[in-house]
Amino acid sequence: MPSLLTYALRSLWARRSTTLATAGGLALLVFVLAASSMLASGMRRTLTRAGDESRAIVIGHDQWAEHQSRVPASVLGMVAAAPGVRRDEQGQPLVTGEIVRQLILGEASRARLSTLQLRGVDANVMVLRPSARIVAGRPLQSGAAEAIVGRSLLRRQPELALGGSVRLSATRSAAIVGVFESDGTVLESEVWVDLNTARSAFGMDGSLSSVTAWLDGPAAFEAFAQTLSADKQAGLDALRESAYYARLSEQVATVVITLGALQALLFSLGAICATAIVFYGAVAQRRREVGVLRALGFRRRSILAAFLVESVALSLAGGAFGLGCALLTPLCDFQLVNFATGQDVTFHFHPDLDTLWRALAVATGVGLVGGLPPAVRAARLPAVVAMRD
Amino acid sequence: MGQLVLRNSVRAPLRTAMTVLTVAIMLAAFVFPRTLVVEQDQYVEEAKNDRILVLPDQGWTSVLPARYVDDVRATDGVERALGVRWAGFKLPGKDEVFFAANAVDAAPFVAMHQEISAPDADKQAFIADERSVLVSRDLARERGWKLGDRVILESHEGPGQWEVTVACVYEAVGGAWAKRSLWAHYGFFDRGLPAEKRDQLRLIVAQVGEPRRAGAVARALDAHFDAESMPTLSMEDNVFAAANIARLSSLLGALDLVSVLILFVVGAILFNTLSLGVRERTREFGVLRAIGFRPGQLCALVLAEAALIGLAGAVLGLGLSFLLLEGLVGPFLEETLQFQELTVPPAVAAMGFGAGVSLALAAAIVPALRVGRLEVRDALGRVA
Repeated sequence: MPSLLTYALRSLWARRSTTLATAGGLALLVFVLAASSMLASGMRRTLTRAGDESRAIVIGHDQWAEHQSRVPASVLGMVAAAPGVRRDEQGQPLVTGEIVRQLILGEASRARLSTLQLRGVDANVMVLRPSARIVAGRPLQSGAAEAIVGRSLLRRQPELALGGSVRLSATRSAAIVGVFESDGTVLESEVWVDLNTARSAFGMDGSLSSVTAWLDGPAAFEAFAQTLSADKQAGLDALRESAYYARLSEQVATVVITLGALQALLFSLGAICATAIVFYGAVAQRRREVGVLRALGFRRRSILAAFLVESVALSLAGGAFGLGCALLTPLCDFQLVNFATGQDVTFHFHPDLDTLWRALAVATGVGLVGGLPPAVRAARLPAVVAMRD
Repeated sequence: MGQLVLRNSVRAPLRTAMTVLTVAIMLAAFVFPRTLVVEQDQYVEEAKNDRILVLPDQGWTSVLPARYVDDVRATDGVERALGVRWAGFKLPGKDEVFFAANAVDAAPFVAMHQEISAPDADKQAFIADERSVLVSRDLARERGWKLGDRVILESHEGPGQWEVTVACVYEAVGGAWAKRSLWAHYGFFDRGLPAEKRDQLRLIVAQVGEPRRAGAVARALDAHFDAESMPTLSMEDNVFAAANIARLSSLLGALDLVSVLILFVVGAILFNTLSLGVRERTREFGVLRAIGFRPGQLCALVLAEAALIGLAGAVLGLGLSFLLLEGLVGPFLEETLQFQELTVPPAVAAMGFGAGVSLALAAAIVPALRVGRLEVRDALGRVA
């Protein structure tokens, strides 16, 4: 059997150009499959990692996203008084009210529109969002017309660099004093300004977009949400922060998954046919060899296995190459508008184990399905006939 | 000679069939992403250059006051203008049915949008009756609405009901935005809303007399409103469409790249099969040479066979693409992801067809030359 294995692999080498062409098709299949799956997983990650199971977000009833929501500032007090809200050492409830707006950046050339999400944040924002860290410059000063920009945003809009300014309205702009990161999440595609600056720039006196609360634990959410939604007059929706961000990621991830899966499906069918063609050709060319093998005493089963090993090895080699290329994609950013919010976000390709084994499974599957009919034909060749030809 | 080509190509029926099928499937995989890319380009091209969109500078969720429309109308170079208010209509008890619904100033809206195609009398009926709506044919068919039907609508924008008559059903010509939409009268809708929801325009559309002045007019509008409480961002319709599509550029670029890579793979597969076929028949080609065929004729034989396979693959592939995009996958994408209507543009179909045939010919060049150079002696002596 080991000798047959070497026979199979050496046969691949003997037909280098054919092997290469077939493997190339497989590589493309696996590349598209893996890259789209990595992108979708990266999209989910970018959006959902911004949310935490033990945090809750409160927005206006029936509103889809923060930037569409507008609630009275008094809601902050209501949320702070709700059951299950965690408190700090001083006994202060861990809640924060924010104003979220989107600005259209019609760049100088107007060749590309870009929707910038702007968040007016309170002094305790870093406490409520522990993943956020200042990486350059300094934090916001309370009450000053200052802004800090997310690192992903800065990479795609270099004009928002430290020392520059961001225009909030006709009469107001804010000086950029810092750059922050937040584990590569969607927050990194935002600009943060002081809450009061945002309030006056956007004419939102007495209002907030959302209130975020840190709860005692994931289990505390039910009671918290019930209390807040019980007050019909207030018209509030409380959501787990993780569920809120998952909702925002679904549509855009589905588009990428669907497009990728459709392409991959067509490619798989094409690759199966191509593999079958190549191996039917190989069997026809090697009738004599098969005859010799049979005469030497190799069983039909072994012949079948030898051809299958050959086709699977070929598809795995192609697949591995495609996967290798796909693993290079995290080196580039992928900018796309999140259809669910209209915000432009920088996404990343995220390699995960799921992608890895799915890609290898598809490659193996294609090799098996495409290689089986020719292998069966080879195994059925009567020894004598095969030798005589 | 023709018969020889035909006979040869069905000599290994299984292989030929599978090659044709592979080419067909891969071409379908080429046409699909291409269609998405080209459709977006078309959307940009179809956008009119004599229209200007005036948006709130602060993004889609901000609103403009209705008095801005008068200012826009009074601006030099502007012929007509209208305000558009998101109406967010829904059907009572059917919250899940979504369609685009806006409230507009009826007369200028109908006058400036050639995309709205309907009999003049119906258009006039819509303009004349404040309690009537304009509905796209797709939406009317889907909801079973006919001319003259009375429909009760509710809105996500505020409490209340609006009872309206379907006065005009239109065909959306070259404007994907109008395909599944309903248009109501601005005044009638606005009055039905609670006070705090009134006077909230999503955008203003202006038509200019001379398209080449549109850019200048847009800048003049922005300069004018810059001093106001709510500054604006004005763009020509086509510039806006292009800038909007640019936001998808990463996705479209990726699709573009994949579609080009596919062509390489198709070429490789064809090269594979054709060389295999030629190598197997070396002895035959030797015989043909021996009975007097010239090398050029043998080359032509191989090329013709390749062209035949490419042609069959291309025809089958296009059939498959139409079936996929317009029959199976298209409706799914349109419904779940709210893609615009997917049809294979003629340019893409031509591209796919050309690619199939020319790749087959290109892949056949090397095998054909090999056959052309065969020496009778070698060919007959060689063991296939």
